Amino acid sequence: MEPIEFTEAFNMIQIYRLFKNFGPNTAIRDLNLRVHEGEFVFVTGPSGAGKTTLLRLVFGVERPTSGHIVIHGVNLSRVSRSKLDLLRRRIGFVFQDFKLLPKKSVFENVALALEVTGERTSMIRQKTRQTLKLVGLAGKEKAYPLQLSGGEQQRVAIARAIVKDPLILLADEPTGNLDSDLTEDIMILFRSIHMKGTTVIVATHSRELLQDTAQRTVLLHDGRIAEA
Amino acid sequence: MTPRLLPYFVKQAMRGILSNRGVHAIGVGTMVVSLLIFSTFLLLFGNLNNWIEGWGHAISMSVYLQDEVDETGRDEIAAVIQDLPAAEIERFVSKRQALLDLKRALGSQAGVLDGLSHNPLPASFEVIFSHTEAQQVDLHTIKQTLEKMDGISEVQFSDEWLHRFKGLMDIIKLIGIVVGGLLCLGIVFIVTNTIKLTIYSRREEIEILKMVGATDWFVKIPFLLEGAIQGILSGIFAIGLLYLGYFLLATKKMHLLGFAGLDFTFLSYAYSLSIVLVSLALGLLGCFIAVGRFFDI
Repeated sequence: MEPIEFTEAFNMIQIYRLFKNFGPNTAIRDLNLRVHEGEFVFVTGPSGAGKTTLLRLVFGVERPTSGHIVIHGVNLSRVSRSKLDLLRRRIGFVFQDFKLLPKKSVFENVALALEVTGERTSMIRQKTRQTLKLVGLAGKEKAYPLQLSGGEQQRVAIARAIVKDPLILLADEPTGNLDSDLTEDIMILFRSIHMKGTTVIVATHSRELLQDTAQRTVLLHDGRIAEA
Repeated sequence: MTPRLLPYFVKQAMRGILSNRGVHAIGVGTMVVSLLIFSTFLLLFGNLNNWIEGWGHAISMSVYLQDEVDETGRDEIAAVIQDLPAAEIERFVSKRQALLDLKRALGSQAGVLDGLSHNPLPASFEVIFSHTEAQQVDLHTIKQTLEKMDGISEVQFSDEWLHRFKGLMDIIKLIGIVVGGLLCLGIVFIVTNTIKLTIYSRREEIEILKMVGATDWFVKIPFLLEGAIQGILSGIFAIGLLYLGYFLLATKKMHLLGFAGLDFTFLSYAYSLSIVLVSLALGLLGCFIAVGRFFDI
């Protein structure tokens, strides 16, 4: 794998004057944000505030209309597609709808994130088992996603996102489909991942999730930061 | 991209083929039919060409003698002809024999010759030239040389029919190239659409692969392998079926059609291998087009 040149270590994510339009609609307008290395940030706001768009922009799935996003010193506006692929290996993404492959086992779904890097098979097996144990899914390796509960499926998705030891973990409404007990379990998991030094950004509109939290919260409204 | 990913790519390609076996079976079937049409044409054209080349190897020439040539002069001319490259005197036709041949040819009309006061037909040598192309014999030069000799009145030979046949073969060849080109385009179109359907059925997996950092090539290679496998299988099946058809029909039909003496041969190894390789190349080309349009994640 070609090494990515890192020029700045303190700010993991820097966003400058970011705009994103979808046709005539503006999803993100003049957004500026800095997230430090190892920080845990909640991005919240009502539906349509731009939370998902912001996460997709940071992940490089969407391109900004204008402005800049710098991830660990790499400017996404100037990075080539092949380098963006390599950068994505350093970022884990957890989707609300899990995005698991139903015809692949739990083990295969998680191992997929390492297979794309060309790791050795023995290393992939070892790392995948370790990660599944970490998220509490030891013994479920051979099960298929549809045989699991919603909470377990989300754990598989989290395992897939963290198996490659990402610098950043992005989660878009990760507890949106889960009841309150499972939500608590998942949040404990995110905090444990954060404790290991990973920068974590969780987008949520759940007030329950933000109650009693000591973490920084960024409130989005109509594509702008209303409160940070 | 490390070599240790190759087993992964092959596994993914095989999985892709098996999970979309219906689409691939239709794709391979259509490719086999197209290749079979083209290779059948190639087989027939090749054999026809061989036969014409074979006929062209033996051209007959008539060397007409002047009436006043005596036996010594005739022997001298015969010696000169025998020394010509690739030439062999088939027979000597005397004046009397020439008249008898003409009468036989005229049949019931032979009476018209009865009024002749003398035999106007010349004596001649019937000469056969074998393997003229291999020995690079120029019959026109030989004709001119012989006609300058004392005792020879005229030399005749006809290779016009050969030229006509060769002209016809050139037209057939051109038709073959056009039909072959169209069939190749058809094959590329089939593979492109087969792989597009496969990609479409696995778009969710592709999206997830890209999300976890797979490069475009990592995603594309299994599809290219699918196209290559489809191409190779189609080529092998087409040649196999052609051979089966050749084995079952060709030799028997040749006897039935009264061409038992003609040697009807199968495509050479080089041609057979070329068809498989062309099929492989077309499979890959179709895939390149299909995957090139798809990846924009």
